[in-house]
Amino acid sequence: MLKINNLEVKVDTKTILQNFNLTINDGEIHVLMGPNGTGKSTICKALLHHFDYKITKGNIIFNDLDITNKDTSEIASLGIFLISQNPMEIEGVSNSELIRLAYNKQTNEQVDIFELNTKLKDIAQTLKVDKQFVHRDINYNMSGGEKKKNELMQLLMLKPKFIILDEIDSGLDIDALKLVGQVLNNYYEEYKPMMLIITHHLDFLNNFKDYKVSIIKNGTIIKNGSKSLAKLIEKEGFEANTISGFEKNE
Amino acid sequence: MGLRKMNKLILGEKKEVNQGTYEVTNLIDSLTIKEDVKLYAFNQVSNEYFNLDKKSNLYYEKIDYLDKDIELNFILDNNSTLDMRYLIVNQGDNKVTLNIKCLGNNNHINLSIRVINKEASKINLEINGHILANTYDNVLIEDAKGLTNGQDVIKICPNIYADTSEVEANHLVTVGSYNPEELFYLMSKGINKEEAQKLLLKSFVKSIFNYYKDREVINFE
Repeated sequence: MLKINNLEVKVDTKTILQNFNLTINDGEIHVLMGPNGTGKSTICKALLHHFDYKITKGNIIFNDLDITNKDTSEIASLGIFLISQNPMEIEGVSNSELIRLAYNKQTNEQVDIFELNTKLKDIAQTLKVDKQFVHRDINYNMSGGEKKKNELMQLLMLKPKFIILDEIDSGLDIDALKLVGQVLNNYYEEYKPMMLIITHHLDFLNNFKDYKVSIIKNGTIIKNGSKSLAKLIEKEGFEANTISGFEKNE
Repeated sequence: MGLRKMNKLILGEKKEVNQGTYEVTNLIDSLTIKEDVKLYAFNQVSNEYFNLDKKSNLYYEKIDYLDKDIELNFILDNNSTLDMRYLIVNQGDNKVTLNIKCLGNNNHINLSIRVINKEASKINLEINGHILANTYDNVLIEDAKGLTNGQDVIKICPNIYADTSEVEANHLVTVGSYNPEELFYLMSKGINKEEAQKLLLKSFVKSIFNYYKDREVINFE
């Protein structure tokens, strides 16, 4: 279970999140929606303790462990995995090298290279990319779709317990969007991880049977609900709903 | 690079080299390059003088563990290309002077240089590109980057002396520490800070190379 309690996050002196509360139960998908610039990406980065985002109040509890002040790599090693909107390009470091190191760290063992490559080739097939994909530099010179598939390759190898998707659907063509949705849904059905999904598109959410929805405005959650809330937002927009005054909880 | 045949080039004995790919295994005095030549030099720290003959192409990958001052000189005639990929790993207080001189026309020079220091070392890299008067269609690109470790000093001076307006010349110099967003990205995959920095260091130096890219010649510890 993930529990975010009364979180306040600042970048320099500017407060981005305040009194932010969110609970994600085991095996639950939670969708965070809200207008641009309201703090959606901030919570993703704060969860992984990005150095620019200072947690000044509150705490984050993941599976009964307080991770508020933990180092980014320690948090990730607990099984928390972030796919951001525009994944970083790193020339000169291959995907397989990154995955091998991350896998070793997570399992505290030295993975057999042959075994790793065999698994990665199977994953490449699932993602409909060339088997040489694993040897390419991290997201370097890749299209938007390839970058997201590359992140999914890492995910499928590292098998996280909690997945954070920060607008993974942005910049994808129809085929890539369908594939990404299918892969994530298959993973969810098999491993039942917790998921925090940030998206503006209901189409993407249709890949999942059920999920909870929270609406964020000005750095705080103003409304919690079920998937019907996402449909309402898509139909009427944030402004109409937030101004007319939601109930705090559906 | 595959299984390409490569000769060893004992440069101390040679004054001229024609077509071919060579691993440099001896200190260079001066060398004339003709036609298409590829040179790979690992830790051959010395002063070097290259003359590129008309219509010659030199591709040069070089890694130096620097412990003294050196001077590298390239003189180009007409219609030649120089593509140099150079990594300097410096220890101590040293200076590298790189002089490029275009005597004629239509020469293309591309310099990609990466500089790192060991511990609290200091390095001064001076790149001097000279384009003579009454020449035309020369292209000179100087790309030099230094990655600091927090306790060292990296000084890079990219100079272009062009006595003609018929030239395309630009220089890019950056000196800085690890990109914090790249560091965050790697750490968010579970790699600790020390290992992430090592990967970024590898990325920094290997990105300029082709031949040395996949060879374990550099110790990243």
